[in-house]
Amino acid sequence: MSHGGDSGEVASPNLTPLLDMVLQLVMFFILSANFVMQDLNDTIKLPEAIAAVPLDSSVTDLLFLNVNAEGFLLPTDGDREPIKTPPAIRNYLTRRYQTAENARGKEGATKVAVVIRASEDATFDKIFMIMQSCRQVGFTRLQLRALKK
Amino acid sequence: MGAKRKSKEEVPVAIDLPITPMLDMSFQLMAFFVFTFKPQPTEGQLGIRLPNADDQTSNSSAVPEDSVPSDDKNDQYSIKVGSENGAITSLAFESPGETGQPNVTELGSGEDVKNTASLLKALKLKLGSLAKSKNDKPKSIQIFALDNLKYSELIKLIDTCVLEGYEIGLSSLTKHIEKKNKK
Repeated sequence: MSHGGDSGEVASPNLTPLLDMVLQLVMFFILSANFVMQDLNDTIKLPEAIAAVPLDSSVTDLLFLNVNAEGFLLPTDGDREPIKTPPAIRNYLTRRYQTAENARGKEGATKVAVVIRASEDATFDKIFMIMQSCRQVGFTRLQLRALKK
Repeated sequence: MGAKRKSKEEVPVAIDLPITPMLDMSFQLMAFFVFTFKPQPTEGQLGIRLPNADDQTSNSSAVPEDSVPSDDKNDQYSIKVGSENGAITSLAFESPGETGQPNVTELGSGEDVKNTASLLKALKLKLGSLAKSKNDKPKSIQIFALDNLKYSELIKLIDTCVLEGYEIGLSSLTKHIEKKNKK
């Protein structure tokens, strides 16, 4: 009686499809991973809005202004200390506007869209002061960022 | 010559690629990404007009009565937002009147309990009724808010107006009142 075990053949599973599938999963996670975005501060809890729309693809030059619950501006370049006083905020914005002006010219700098990412607990006076400062230094376009409901 | 012929006749060696270590590494990579995966909530934009640098009105026209030429008052509505502890407590809706004086409507005045939700509902109804009654209605709204209004409440208000198809400008009601008191 033969059981076929005498031939010495080794049964090995075909691992190639398994490898294919795992690599596809790896690709998915790589592509959807959150890479650290320098301009965005994830400690800020944004308010929610139904009417919030994705950013217009024609707008390429953006200046993100992260504002915490106390109304302090959290800079995204250089030192990361919160900017607290109105004159200091104005100085920061002036510096950012001049950087944009040097890179893109005067007309290009006015096309930079300021995106305010403010905490839902911030108060109107702080946000309004930042908006006015933006206008004072020369910015003309403004967007308020919110979580899409 | 003989050696060359001999090598040509050799049976080709089957290359066996070691799949197992590759699979191990792939699983490790996958485990890393699975554990660090954190889907980011979708963010969107609400476009508004920048306020003027010195004045409390933005770009503008509308409300602060005396400082503005009367022709410019007709191109927008305005909402004066009362607030307490950061929450909206009253909404005064002003529309340009035919005589030059604005028509003021206190929203939610008939309701017993006034909270943000009920006031925004009243505002939505008001804007809806304006849309039905007028085709050439103003397309922008100037929002006058007090300093203590919470940003989340402001966004709710802007959201309601933007959903009805209006452009938004912001002004400080606190500064407006101070200016009025000085006069």
